[in-house]
Amino acid sequence: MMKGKRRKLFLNILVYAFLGLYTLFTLVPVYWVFTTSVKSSKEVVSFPPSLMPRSFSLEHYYFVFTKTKLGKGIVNSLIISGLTTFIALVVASLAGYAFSRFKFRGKEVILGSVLGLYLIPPLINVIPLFLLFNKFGLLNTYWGLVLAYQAMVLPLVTFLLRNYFDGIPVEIEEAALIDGCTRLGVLWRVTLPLALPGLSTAAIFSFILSWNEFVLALNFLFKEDLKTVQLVIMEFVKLYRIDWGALTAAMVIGMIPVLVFLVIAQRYLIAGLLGGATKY
Amino acid sequence: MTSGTGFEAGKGLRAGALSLTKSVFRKEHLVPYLFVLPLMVLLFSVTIFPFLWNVWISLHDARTTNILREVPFVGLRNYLQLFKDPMFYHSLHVSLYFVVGSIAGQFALGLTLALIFNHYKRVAYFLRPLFVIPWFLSAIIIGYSWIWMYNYNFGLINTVLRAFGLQPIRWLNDITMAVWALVIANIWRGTPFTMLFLEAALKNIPNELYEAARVDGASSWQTFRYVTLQLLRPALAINLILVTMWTFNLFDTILVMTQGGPANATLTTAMYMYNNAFRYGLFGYGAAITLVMLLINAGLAIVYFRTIGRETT
Repeated sequence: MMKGKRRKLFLNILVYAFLGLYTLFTLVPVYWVFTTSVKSSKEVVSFPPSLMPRSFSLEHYYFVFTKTKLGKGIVNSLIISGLTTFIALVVASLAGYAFSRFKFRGKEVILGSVLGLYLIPPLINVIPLFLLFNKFGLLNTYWGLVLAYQAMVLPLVTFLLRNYFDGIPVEIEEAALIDGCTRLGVLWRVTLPLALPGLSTAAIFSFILSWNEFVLALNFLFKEDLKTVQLVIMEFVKLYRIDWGALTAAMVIGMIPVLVFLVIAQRYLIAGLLGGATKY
Repeated sequence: MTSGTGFEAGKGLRAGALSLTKSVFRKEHLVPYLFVLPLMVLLFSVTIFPFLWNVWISLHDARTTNILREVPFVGLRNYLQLFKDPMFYHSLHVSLYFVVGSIAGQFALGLTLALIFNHYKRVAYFLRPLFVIPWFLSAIIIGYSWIWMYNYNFGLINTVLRAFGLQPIRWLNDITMAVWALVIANIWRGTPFTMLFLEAALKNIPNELYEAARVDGASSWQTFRYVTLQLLRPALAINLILVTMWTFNLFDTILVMTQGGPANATLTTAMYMYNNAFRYGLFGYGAAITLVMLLINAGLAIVYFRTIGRETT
């Protein structure tokens, strides 16, 4: 009995030490960026750097909002991510509903290929998409990027919504169907309102994915006025010979939507993260 | 004879009823296809069609200079050239380090965290949301955060090393260190996924099995080895496949952090492809590399399923 207790104590110490170290590992890079962003310009370049900031200043935040294109970048990113999310939700609601409620010929094949597409590296399609968009005048437009992002978000969002619809009892819909509602009417009036948590998760996912993306944006948008947040942050390195105060301030701003979503919806996001790969 | 005709009649009747319902619901049969149509159209135009075009490009000598006009057909020349390209083999070598290092770290940490969270539920409730943060950050932010961490003079890591009287390290500028510096950043980024995935899989192992093992007098190590790990096998295989593919295809953080340097020390195959297509403008060659990468991924997936995924003892 004594021996078992001591072993348990030992195990507990080991576990908490491990968790402590891992917490440190996870938070330290974020901490380093955040503290740098609130140090004064003088302190940022003082050697050796201070582990705890000695000064507190919002000058870098002021700088990035007044002297750089970050504000414009945020607007562009909001538009692109918003449009991407809206289209993805409409398309994926319809498809996810069909996959959840109907039996039809070719369903398994279609589902399988949607999941299979998720495994093709997005990089593969950059060259042909570039040529395609060039032909249809979609380079340097919001719409081009919004379309390209569908490849990235649709498979995930479709699976997420299908899994969510699976959890909603069919009986609720049957009553509406007997009352003469069309399938589309049922989806719009009955199922979607019930699937609001699932829709929100899907929306947040597709928003974060599009907000974070930069490789397609880098290759499809080169007009200054259209650059997304990520591209603007990237420009800091070229334009300002790495002013780390300004760069870290811009990075903190770029992280905000993601952190806000994690705080308000972390449980759903965690479940959703696995939604594309497994049935959670 | 009579029973035979009765059987036939019954069959005919049922077939008739079936065709009747079919005709009544014929329009209903189209509904699912209409619902799925927008998805199919979109995915076809932004993934399948570009993918096929990519195959076509890989068979042509397509470059920035001729891509908008006419590109000469070269058959399999891009592929043959690839198999003779020493830089391609070098990139596979770098990828091997990058993928194996990342996966080893992500699995060791992810599995440990999943096992801990599975037992310490209250701690998990508070720490899980914290631990997933890196997974949701953008490659740009991850990349620059780690560049700043690794900075020779102002980075946190070297500051700590100096505080302990150790020599600072030129992380991203050192030929041997650079790839490991990327591996650490990638472990930081990717571990949350493995953690959550395996935690979900652990939850699916029925409790009775643990009880049965205890009744049989199995030690905790034996329980772990013969119950937990055995039942985790299919999930481990899927997780391994996903993470291997993502890591092998990954180049966004590398593009931000080292762009393949110093002296090609971090030139993974994905990065090499990116450089060929978008820096040197060799679209045909880049396309060939992506397709070879896809084949490598598919091959690895099959190997994983055959070895880890099989449900044997």
